[in-house]
Amino acid sequence: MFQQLFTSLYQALLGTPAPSSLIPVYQKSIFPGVGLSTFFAVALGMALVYYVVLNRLMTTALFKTSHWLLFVLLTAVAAALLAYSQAHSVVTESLNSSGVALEGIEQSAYNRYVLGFLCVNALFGALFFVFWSFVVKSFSTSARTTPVRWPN
Amino acid sequence: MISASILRKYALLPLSGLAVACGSGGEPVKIAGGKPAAGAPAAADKIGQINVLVDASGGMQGFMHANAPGEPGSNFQQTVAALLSDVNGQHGAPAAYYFVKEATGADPRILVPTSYGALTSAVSTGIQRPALGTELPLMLAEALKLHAQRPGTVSLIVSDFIYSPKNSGETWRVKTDVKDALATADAARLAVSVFANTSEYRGNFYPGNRTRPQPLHGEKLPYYIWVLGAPALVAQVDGTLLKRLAGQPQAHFNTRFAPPYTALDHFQNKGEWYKTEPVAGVPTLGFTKSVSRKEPAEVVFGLDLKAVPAEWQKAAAQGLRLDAAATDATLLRTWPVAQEPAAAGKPYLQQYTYLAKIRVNQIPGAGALMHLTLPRQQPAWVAQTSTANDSNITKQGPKTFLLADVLQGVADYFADQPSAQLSLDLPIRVQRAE
Repeated sequence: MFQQLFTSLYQALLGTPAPSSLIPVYQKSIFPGVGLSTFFAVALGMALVYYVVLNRLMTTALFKTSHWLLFVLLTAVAAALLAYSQAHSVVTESLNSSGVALEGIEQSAYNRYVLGFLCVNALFGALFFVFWSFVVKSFSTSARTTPVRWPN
Repeated sequence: MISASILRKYALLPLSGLAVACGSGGEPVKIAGGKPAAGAPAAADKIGQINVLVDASGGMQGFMHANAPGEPGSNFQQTVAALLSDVNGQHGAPAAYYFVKEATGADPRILVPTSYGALTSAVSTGIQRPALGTELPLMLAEALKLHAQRPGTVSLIVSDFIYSPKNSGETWRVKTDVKDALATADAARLAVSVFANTSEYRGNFYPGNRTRPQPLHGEKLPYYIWVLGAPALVAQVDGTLLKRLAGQPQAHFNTRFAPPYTALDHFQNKGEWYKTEPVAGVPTLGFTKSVSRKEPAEVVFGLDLKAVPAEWQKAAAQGLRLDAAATDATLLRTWPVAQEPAAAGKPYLQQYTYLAKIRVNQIPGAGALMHLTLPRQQPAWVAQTSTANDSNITKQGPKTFLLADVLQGVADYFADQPSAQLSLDLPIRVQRAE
């Protein structure tokens, strides 16, 4: 299910992976893997750090909307880094196992697609963080109304 | 299954993704389909029994002559002794050894079970009591009886394969007799490989047309090793036990060689396609964009023909054909990897011996099954080695009485099999990617 879900999410914005020989690698491994870990590990993790660790367990002055926006940005950067490193390592492993090195036009197609993937995952990371914010904010004490009062 | 392993992998990630993003990200998931399709043989392709049958007739005696100290032994002795030793040394399947003789009133058996030791000693020093010789069709029929008893049996028959009907006026029906002899087996499940060889002959030669025996003193005469069994098993034995004879003239009837082949997705590939999971064991390509005559896709296939007969390998460079089905595809070029300059230092190309480039002009909605094929060719050596009159064999050189008819009988038996037209048939499925 996640395989299809994340594949369609990414491909809706990026088109099918390029070079086309890497389509199975992206669809079976990179999209679901990066999608899931962005959704849970990165976005939910950052939301918990912001709302529970910083604004409940610890008493910091980071409850303002500007701090929250900073965390949106941090999540986006983390998601981008995750997308790049995962795509790079999975593709390298797959190519090495069949003894192939990308050349010329395939290499540039790969670079272009990975760049797009990195940007799209940054966007998804930010969106997922916003989503988790609304789920998690009620567990917080000092940031219950960040970024908005609703629904608390 | 893959998504499950990914779930497991990412569940172990630390809370913050930052640590992962900066680090390596764990062990990447391996992608299926990176290796050539044909791999280890399935359980059904396992050899269950190897029978070695050596013709013990007087006509074989001259191949198994005694040697003076220091003599190298005849080609027959060297080849057959090495083959017997290989059969004895392999541990894949139980082996049984038989002498082939004529049925007599005292002993109606045609196949007499013997041992590895007795058979090797007969080959090296001669048969103790040579038989009159049994008829070729009877020998084949008896060998096939043993096949019916035990599935997975492969027989290696060593003989001069001279078939002279009792009535010399009936030589015209040699073909039919041979065809009938095979008829106990299902043609789809039987294959015959014939390896020809010559060896020096010392002793009386008994001509196939039943004229007077001729004493020979080291002249060369042909002998043959026939391999009978299931199509895939015969191919397996051809490539292993009979590897030494790979350079010899040979003929294959329904033998199913399955050379590894794959689409090369990083070599001169054009258009947007990728290797998907094989459909029913057939390598499959998924096309993400529509292709047309103006914008065709190109796919290069790597074929590893090392294990197919040498004649076929030679024929492949010119003779590969493409059955394009509904794809309007064309075979642009076939060339050996050795002649491909880009192959240097590329192991993924070096593991193949031939490259075949295909241009695909359209992909039907339902997909299509293309076939890369090698049409069957009659081996030229058969006609050259065959003679209708071997009364004066010393003048003719190494020839076998009515060999062409005998092998025609075998070919007739397999005439309805696809292998009668095609030596190799490598299917490729193309479809639109969902």
